[in-house]
Amino acid sequence: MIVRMENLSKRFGEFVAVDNVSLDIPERSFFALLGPSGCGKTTLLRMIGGFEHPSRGRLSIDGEDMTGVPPNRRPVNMVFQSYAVFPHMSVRRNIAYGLEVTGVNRAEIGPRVEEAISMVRLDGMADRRPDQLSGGQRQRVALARALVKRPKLLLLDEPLSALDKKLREEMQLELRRLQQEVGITFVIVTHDQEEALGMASDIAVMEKGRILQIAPPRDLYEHPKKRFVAEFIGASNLFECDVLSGEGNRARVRAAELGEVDVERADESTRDGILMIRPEKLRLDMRGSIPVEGEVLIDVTVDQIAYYGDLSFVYLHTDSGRRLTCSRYNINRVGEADPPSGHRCKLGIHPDDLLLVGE
Amino acid sequence: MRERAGVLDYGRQWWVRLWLLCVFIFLYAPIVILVAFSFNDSKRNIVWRGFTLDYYGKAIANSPLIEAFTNSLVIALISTAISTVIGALVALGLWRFRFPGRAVLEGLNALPIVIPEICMGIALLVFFNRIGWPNDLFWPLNLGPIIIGHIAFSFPFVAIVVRARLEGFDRSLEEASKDLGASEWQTFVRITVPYMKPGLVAGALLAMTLSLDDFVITFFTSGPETLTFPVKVYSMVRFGATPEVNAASTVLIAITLILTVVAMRLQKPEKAA
Repeated sequence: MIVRMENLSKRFGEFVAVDNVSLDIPERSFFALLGPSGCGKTTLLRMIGGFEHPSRGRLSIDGEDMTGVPPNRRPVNMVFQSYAVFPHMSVRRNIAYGLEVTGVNRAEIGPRVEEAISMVRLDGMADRRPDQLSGGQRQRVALARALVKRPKLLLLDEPLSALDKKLREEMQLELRRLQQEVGITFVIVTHDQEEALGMASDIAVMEKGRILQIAPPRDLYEHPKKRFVAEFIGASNLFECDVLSGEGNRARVRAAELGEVDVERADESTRDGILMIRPEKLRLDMRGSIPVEGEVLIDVTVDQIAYYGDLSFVYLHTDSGRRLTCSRYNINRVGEADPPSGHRCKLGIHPDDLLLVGE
Repeated sequence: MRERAGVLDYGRQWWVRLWLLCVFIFLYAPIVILVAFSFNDSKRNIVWRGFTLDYYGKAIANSPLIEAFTNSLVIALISTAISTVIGALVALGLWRFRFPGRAVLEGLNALPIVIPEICMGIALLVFFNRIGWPNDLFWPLNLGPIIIGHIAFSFPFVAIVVRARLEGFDRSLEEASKDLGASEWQTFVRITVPYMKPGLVAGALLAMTLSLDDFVITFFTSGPETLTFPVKVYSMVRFGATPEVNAASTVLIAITLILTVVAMRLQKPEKAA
C-alpha cells in the first residue's frame, strides 16, 4: 500500500470536512476520489500532499508516517486545479524549478527536463511563457513539472474541469497513458463520474466526509452498496420494497409493482433498503410481445423522449404514478421510431437486474 | 455629406472640445510658462527677452542650491529604500495573515495618507523636540528627522500599491512551489517576490516622487543646515522669483515626470497569466 490512512479526520471549526476515513491506496493504481462538491475529497487529497494537517488519525506514505512532514519533504507531487504554472518563468524553467530548488546536480537537470517535456508532448514549446499556452498545454506543463521530480505518488486535483469536452476526453487517455508509462500511483479528485469511470482503476465514492464504497468502476456501477452511490454514478430507477429474508448476497423482497422477487444485494448487512435498476436494463416492449423468461411485466405510459443520437432516454410513469427512465440504443439507422408521448405499453424488468441497495 | 455626431459622442462637439481646452490651459499653462521662462534672458520673469541657458548655469553654480538638491536626493533615496521594505512587509502581513485587529491596522495604515500634512509636520516637530533628538549631528546623519518623516508618510502608499498587486496572486503558486520541494524562503524569493515586483517598483517610484517634492513636512523637520530643494526654492522665491528658480524647478519637474511615467508604465496590469 502506497498510502495508508487510519481514522483520518479534518475539522474546520465546527465543520467536519473529513470524518474518520480509513483508506488504503494500492501501489501503481489509478485511484479516484469521487463525490459531489463539499464532500471532503479535495481536503483528503490536500492532506496527502501536506497542505492540510489532519485533526485526528494517521497518514503514512510508502510506510513512512507523514505527521508533521511539510509538503516540500514528501515524496508526493501535485497538479493543482488552477495548474499553478509560474507565470514569470518559461516552460523549461517551470519544469526545472522543482529540481533546482532541491539542489539536483546541474548536469542532471537538463536531460531530465527534456525527457519530461517530450513525455507530455510539449516539444518545441520549451521557451514559451505560460501566457502563450492554451489551457491544455498549461496542464501538460503542470504534469511535467510534477513528474520530473519522480514522485512516488502524483496527486491531481480536478485536473480536467477547466478544459472543454473534446480536450477533456483527449487528456483522459493521455493521463492513463502517462500513468502506465511512468508506473507510479495517481490519485485524482473529481466530481465527474464519467471521468472517474473512464480513467480510474479504483474509485472511492465520498459523501459528507465519509467514504461510502471503494471498488473498481464496473463493480461500483453494477453493484453499488448504497443508494447514494447508485444515484451518484449513472442514472437509476428506484422502487421501495420490504425485505422478507436475506442470505449472503441474495435477498427476497416484496415491492408494490413487482410482487415478490429474489434479488442481489451488494452489501450483506443491508436489512432494509430500496430496489434499484439501471435505465439500460429496462426493456420497453411496445408491441406487447411474449415476455422474456422470468421477466416481470408492468404497464407504463410514455411521458417524454430525449433523443441523444446514439441513445434515447424514454421518461415513463407507472399506473401508480412512479416515474422511471429507460434508455434505448439507436442501433439501426432506419429502425423502430421512439414511442410518442402518451403511448401506453409494457415494461419488462428482469429480477436479475434488480439490486437491493441500503439507504 | 458631413456625418452627424451621435448624442453621446461628446468628443466631437465643439463646445466640449473648447471646454477641454480651457481645462488644459488652466492646469498646464502655469507650468509651461515656468519652463519657458527658465530660458528667458532677463532678470525678471515678466517680459521675454530672448533665449538663454545662463540661468541653468547659474543654478548649477549656486552651491547652496546644489547642496539642497543633494540633500533632497539623499533623503529621497534612503527614505524610498526603507519605506519600500516597510510598505511591502505591511502589505504582505495584511494580505497573508488573519489576526484580530487586522481591519484596524489596515485603517491605521491609511492614516498618514489622509491626515493633513501640516498636522503631521507639526506632530513630527513636537515629537523630535520632545524626545530630544540631537540637532548637532554631521551630514548626512543630520538628515535623520527628515528621512524619518518622509518614511512615515510614504510607506503607506507603497503598502497600498503592493497590496493591490497581491490581491491578484494565486495562492496555489506558493503551494505548488513548496510541493515541488522549495522551502518557505525559496518560495518567497523565487515566486512571491517576482510577482510583487511591479508593485514594488511602482511603489518605490511613488515614494521617491513624494519625497523629492515634499515641502510641508520637510519644512517642519529641517534645520538651517539641512535645507532640501523645495524648501530652498521657497526661500529663494521670497527674495523674488528669478529665472534661476525656474531653471531649478524645471529640473525637478523633469525628474518627477520621468519617475511618474515609469511608475505608470509598471503599474499597467499585465496580460492575464
